[in-house]
Amino acid sequence: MFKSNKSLYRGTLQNIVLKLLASEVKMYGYQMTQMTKALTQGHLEMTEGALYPILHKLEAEGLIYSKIQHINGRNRKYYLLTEKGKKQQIIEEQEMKNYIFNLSAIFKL
Amino acid sequence: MNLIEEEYIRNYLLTQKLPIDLLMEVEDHFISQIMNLMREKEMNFEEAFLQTKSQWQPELYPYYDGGWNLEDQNRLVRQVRRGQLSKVIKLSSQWSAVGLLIVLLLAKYAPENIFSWFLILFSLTIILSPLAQYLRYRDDFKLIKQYSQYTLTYYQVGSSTVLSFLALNLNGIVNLILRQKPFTYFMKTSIIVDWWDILLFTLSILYILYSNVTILVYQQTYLKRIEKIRPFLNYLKKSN
Repeated sequence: MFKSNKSLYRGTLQNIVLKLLASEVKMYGYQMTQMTKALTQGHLEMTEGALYPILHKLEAEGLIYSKIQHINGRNRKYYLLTEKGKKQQIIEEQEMKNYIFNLSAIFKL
Repeated sequence: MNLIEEEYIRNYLLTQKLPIDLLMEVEDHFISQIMNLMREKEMNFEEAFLQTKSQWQPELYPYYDGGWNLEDQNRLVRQVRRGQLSKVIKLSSQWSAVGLLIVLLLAKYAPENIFSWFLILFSLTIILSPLAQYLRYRDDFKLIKQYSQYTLTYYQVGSSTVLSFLALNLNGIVNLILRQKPFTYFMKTSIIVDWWDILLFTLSILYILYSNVTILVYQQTYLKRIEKIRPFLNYLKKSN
């Protein structure tokens, strides 16, 4: 799953993936792992074993769709949010913000 | 990275028995990761490949998990399949429930002769739809046999079982015809003449709906996936 603080981050992967796609419009798998690592300065590393199952699950649920583009002589699969995914991302981001607000009240962050 | 190195990576991933629709993006991830290591940590290809292979090893190592499927599979494939299977089950259940509701409403409110005709036409349409789709897109479904040493996508499993269920489906129709009267009588009057007839009728319509809707869902998803993996077929060897 994640390489640090597994239990804290478990359950947030979908939120993270949807947020990345909302910010960048289209991304491929390796790009998502690198961006997560860069944004968190290496504290959060998404493993491939966590990422690809969630991408396929989100695609099966119709929240994201994929398209193949020919890049540098090879085929690359990009993921993008569907309209349903964009709405879901807004809902999940608000839920995440409420969650963090509640936690900050308890831990006095 | 040159074409020989890319082919080396591809051949390694093919030995990991990944379905091709998943292998395509794992290959791109592998290549991106190796190129990053070569650039940032000044490794040569072999070193970068070994490090990447080692990092992916927990996800790609095949094992038997003690379940019904005797095939050794790696963790990545298991997790991806779980998500795919749950979606198929959910969609099949939803559409089957809609079909069953239509049958129940018509059994209760429609005249008996109209319901009889509806039942036969509805059942035949449901049963023949997967076969019609298979024949319409047979060139795409034939790819499964042409590349039989690979798994193109796990959705191919359900999409090619069209004829396997035909005999059971025809048996289901016979049950529907034979047990229709007791069922419609029960729906209109709530009086059970023979509970066995009602049970068999309900099970038959559920079986016809669920099995065929499931095959249709697998077929539809297979056809969408095949379009995405078609460029990759150039790298695969056809079966003899």
